[in-house]
Amino acid sequence: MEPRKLRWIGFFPVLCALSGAPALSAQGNVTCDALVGFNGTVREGRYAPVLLSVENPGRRLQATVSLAVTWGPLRGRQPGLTVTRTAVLDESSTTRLPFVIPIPRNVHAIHATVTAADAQVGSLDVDPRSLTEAGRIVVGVASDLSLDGISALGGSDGSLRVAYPRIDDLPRSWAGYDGVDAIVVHDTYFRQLRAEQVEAMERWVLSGGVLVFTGGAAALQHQEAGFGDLLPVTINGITQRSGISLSLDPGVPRRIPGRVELADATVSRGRVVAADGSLPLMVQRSLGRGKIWFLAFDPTMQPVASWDGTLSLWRHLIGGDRRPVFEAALTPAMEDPWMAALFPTAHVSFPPVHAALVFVAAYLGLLAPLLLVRRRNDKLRSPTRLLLLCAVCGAACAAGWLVFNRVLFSPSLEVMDAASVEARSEDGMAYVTEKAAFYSASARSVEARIGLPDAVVAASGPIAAQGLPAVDPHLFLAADAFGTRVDGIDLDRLGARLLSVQDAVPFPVSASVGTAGSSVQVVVTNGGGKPLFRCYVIDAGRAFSIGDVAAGETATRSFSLADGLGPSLAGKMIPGDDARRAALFKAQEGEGLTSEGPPRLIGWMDAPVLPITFPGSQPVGSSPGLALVSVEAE
Amino acid sequence: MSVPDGMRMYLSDRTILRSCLYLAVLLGMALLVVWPRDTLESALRTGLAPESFLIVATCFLLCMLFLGVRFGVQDLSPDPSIQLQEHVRLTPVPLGKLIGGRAAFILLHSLLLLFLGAPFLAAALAVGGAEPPQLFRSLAVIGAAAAASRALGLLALCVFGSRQPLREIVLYPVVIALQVSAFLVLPPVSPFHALSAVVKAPGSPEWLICTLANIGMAAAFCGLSVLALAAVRAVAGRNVHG
Repeated sequence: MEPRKLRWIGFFPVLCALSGAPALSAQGNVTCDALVGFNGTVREGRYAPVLLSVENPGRRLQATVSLAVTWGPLRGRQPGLTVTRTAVLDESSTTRLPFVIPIPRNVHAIHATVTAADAQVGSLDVDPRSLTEAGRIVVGVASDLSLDGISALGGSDGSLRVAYPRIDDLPRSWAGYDGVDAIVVHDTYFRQLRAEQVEAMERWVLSGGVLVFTGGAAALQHQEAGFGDLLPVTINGITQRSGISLSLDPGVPRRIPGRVELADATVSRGRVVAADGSLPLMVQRSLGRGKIWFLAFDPTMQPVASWDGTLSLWRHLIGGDRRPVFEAALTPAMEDPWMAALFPTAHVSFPPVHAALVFVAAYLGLLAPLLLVRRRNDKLRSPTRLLLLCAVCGAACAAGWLVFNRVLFSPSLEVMDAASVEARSEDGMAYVTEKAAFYSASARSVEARIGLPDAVVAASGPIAAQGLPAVDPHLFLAADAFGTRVDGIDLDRLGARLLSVQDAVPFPVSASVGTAGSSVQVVVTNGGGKPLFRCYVIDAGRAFSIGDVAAGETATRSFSLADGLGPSLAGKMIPGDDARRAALFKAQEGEGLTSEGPPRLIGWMDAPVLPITFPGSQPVGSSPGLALVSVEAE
Repeated sequence: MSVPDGMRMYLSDRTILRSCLYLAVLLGMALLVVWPRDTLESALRTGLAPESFLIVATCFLLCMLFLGVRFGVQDLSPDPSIQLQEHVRLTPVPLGKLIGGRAAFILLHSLLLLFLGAPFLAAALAVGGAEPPQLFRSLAVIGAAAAASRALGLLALCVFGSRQPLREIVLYPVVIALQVSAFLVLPPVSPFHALSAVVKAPGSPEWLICTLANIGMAAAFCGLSVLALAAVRAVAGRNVHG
């Protein structure tokens, strides 16, 4: 070989070494630490926050940080969830990255990896056995352990734990609070929360959480800490009262002995549950499915702390268990009640057998004259026969493909979508559950894009053989500029999957219902960007038709009570020509849609309500979204 | 037999053309029998996709294997005025050219037969959960397997000549044994296995391995045919000189 070529070969390892230098220098230098749950306390079957601290002692890195949790049987491809996000790890600094992951009952491993320049520069394994499991969790935002008394609600088995995360460690995503029954804000040791932390609490309450603000002198910190928009009161100062009494059980007031320091507040939104004269003692505000409480007194301070009704008070405030958002064991797509109701109306089917019969007959009919040769007088020459045969076969191929793969049936990804929008009038927000069932005639890998960074995403697995339950898939969620990208959904041939997305989103729709004598006055304001179709207000078991309410429109209607539709609403509220809406309405009717209760507004939206897209897919028919707005007055 | 001669014979002979029509009728019937009659909803609910494409493709493969052997041994051809072995014994025709011409014709005629059955596969594509690339892969697998079986038939013709009973006693069991043993012992070479992989594991390279292996087998059988004819000629030469 020529010496010049040898010289270039000599340069090659040097070039390789230089190109690999950044990765090699970073290798192993980055260290990770994770705070899982609330001070290590998690709840099985719920989502938990994870705060990953990545310490980079070297130079600045553009890194990809992944957090994976796996569960299920230890064979084959493990079901799980991998969340990936990009981060800039500044030089000689520690970056804290918040994640939210599910903690299923059979969780195996939690593994974090940090990669930079296509090389792994750090990793961390968290042993799930090192986590503390609790039946119920109450988060205390307090500078001391003053709320420990609440744990007595869990009974002698200690199944209720009070966790005191640092202000900086509070989740920034509402799903991080999924395992929490209540958040009790006592004081923030004069620190201010991040806007996204307060927003996360608000959206969590909307999903069914209970937020309690305690009073006393510490209440003066609440507004400064950033809770102004959540508080049902405006705090003006501090006052003291003696002999106040609370009525936790109807008609049985219980007196708190001694002099109590109280927050002097005026109600801004919500209703007063207990008061001492004009001074509100307990104020409740409903927000979506959840509640926000304000107590004017401090239950951790004397004399309330030693009052015999304190435990009853906490039991009254924290109430029952909230509905979890984690749905790792989603039902298979075709067994989901919404999809089971929608699918028969989808008008999708295999091409009929008589179409195949016509095709076969036509093809054979063209072939036969070319292939049935008489012994004599066969005047067709071989090249001509060959050409004609090729032409017939080619035309039949094209026709078969076109008719059975495009016109009568399509192998593309088909998506069926339905949404439920739950809101309360004046909240300005709604809790949305959107389900998308998708299937394809051919096996393919499916990607979904959700234009929301904090949505809770779950997917059902494929139906296992012999009717066994669905196996959870391993989903890959990547946060990008668009929101969340979902990968890892591998569809089998004619396999159907269900993707469920839950989130709290702005929904500025309000309604009011006033009854005077035999007339009903209804005002509906749609401040959102999407029209509401075929709206009805249901009051006292009767439904009043509002019609369509366009985006930005305020509709005012007056009815006489006799105008209202009777108890069998479903058939009348949905016109017979819209079978899909009728089916979804029927599927949700069992969830108390038209039952007796406070007034509510029911309207239809064009789904997808949430910004969910499946690249390369086509929708199957219309996608109904049912909005339910409670008009309960505070 | 040169390619033009072969085409002239295969495109004018009544029996051969009729066998092609039978092939098309059989595939058409198979398509109608396995056409999904359940609703799409029930297929989605059970998670069981109709196997229309796979079944039609397997039928096509079986037919092509059978026809390949029969065409290979010239069972369906009109009786030639002079048999192959006689031709080799009596004329100094180059054996490579003789077998090469037949091999080229085997490939071309196999292509024509593939073309004949392709519309049924195209119709069964979507309902069978397959896509156009899978159609072409299936055709490649079927075509290669048919070429291999046809070359095996040619080898039998070269070895046994016109002794039909002996030829059939040996040939068909050998073809069946080859296919069964490939399916059980060497799955990547088995066209049945490859067809299943084409539909059920679209990303798998098994179709390519199987196609290349069967083309290789066809080439090997053609080579063995040359050797067999050389032996026939050598024996004939010895007899003449003896």
